[in-house]
Amino acid sequence: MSNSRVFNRIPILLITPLVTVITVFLAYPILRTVLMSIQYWYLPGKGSETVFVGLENFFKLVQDSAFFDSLWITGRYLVVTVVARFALGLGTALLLNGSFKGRAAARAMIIIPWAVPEVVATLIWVLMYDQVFGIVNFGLSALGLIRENLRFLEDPSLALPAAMVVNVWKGFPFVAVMLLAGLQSIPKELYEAARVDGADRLQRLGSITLPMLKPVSKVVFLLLVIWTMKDFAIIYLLAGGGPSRATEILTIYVYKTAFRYFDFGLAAAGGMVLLLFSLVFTVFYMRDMNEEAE
Amino acid sequence: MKTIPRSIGVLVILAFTLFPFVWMISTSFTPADEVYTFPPSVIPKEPTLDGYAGIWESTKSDFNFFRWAWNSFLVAVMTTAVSMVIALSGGYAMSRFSFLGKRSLGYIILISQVLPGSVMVIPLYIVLNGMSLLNTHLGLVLAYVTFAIPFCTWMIKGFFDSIPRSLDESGLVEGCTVHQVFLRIVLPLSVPGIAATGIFSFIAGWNEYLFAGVFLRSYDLWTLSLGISRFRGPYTTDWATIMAGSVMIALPIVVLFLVLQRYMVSGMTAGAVKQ
Repeated sequence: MSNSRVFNRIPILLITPLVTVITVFLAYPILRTVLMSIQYWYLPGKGSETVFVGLENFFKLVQDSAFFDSLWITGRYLVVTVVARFALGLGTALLLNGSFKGRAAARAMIIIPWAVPEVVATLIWVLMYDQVFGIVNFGLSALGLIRENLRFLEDPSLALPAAMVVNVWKGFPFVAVMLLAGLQSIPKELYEAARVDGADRLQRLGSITLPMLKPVSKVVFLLLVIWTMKDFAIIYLLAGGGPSRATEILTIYVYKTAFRYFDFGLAAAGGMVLLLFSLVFTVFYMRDMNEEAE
Repeated sequence: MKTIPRSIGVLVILAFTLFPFVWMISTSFTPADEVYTFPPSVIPKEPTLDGYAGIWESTKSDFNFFRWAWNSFLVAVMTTAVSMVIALSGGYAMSRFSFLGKRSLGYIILISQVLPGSVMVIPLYIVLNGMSLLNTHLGLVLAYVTFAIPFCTWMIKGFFDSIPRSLDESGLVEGCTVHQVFLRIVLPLSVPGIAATGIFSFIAGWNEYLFAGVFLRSYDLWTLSLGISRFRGPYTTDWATIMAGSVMIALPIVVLFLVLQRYMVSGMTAGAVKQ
């Protein structure tokens, strides 16, 4: 900006509170975590008992089979829920983009799962999943899909898929809203021109709609990946990482290591790994944002 | 003709989206013992207000729902107020001035959005412990603000960016100070965006679970999200009361979203979609 040099002190004053908060509550804690990951750090002991142990926490981490299990669980959870949320969100956006009676109401109501607290959403599903009186079991047996009621949250082979369903249900509205906004920003003239050229619906979808949605899809996709890596409350409240650690995603592994086994050093090492994965996707995200800005 | 299959599709999606809420509301009016019957029915056979009475009764116990509601409100409002003040000034600087380290600050803000809460809770626990702020609302607000400020700054910077700079310059030409340009031109024009950002940070504070669970020990300091999750007993669970409480927690958020839908959606999509 041309006059920025004249008011040189103003931006400094304006960003001071921002920079202070970031330094004290973000930068310092992150550095502290990095430090903790190379220390023996056990909570019940005093701070003075911390000893530098080099990479020992990381060695311990890679020897812990629960850690590798949790990586594998996180990977499956990530891929399945991101793909499912995206597909369902895209379908919903395409449906809601047309004209039909009650469109405004439908568009408004679709956001509700995304808006409500994770705790409330999860409690509802815990109730619905119940083995004895749950409505999900009732529905499945009424449709003749199951013969006896399933123990969704207590059966190790069902708990993760059950959590995925909750995640998809709560998360796809965000995709739908974003893609709907993307659809509405596509100029109508493009469709007119295609129609004149004799393109049918499928061709219009393939050659106009989907390509035009690409920029917003990229952002949405990266956000989904980043958010899913941070996901905690849904699984924690549904099954607490159990049964038999079947739903122990990385965030829950880290949390339990710290606040159940009080091994903060090991937890910090696990946290570093989690952080690293998130940062990889952030780099993609930032590159995308920069392209948009420039 | 094409609208009929479309309507069916929309109905299926809406049924999937809304059925859990129907179930929540239905259960909140179901007598406690009827909840445990199979097959369950969507419309309670003998509808009661027992669930809501259970919430009212909670005021007499340690698990005081209304106390938690007040705590949640207080924490969310404080989080929003502090973050918005800092984010408005920071966002203005990021949008209108150039200064040393601006690019890095932008990166740091974006990175802060990907930090997993379950990792950050560990050092924040130690930092708050060192400041003797564990088990206090102030400590919780500080933790929330840490995540709300970068988010709000980024959003608000985006909204300020969308206001043409020629307006600022014409203001300056006509003798406004920088201060007045901000207060009389930029700020009023970005009210919808600022409102949406503020509501997002309020909702984030209202909904948060993990930090509250780790930092708050005393029942009387708990927030709604944390408190309602502890209503589940190890042996029996009073689902009617839990669902009545859930209705009361979700209702304000849903109403906020529905009433301010246009702003919220433009806030959600800002930056990602070129309008």
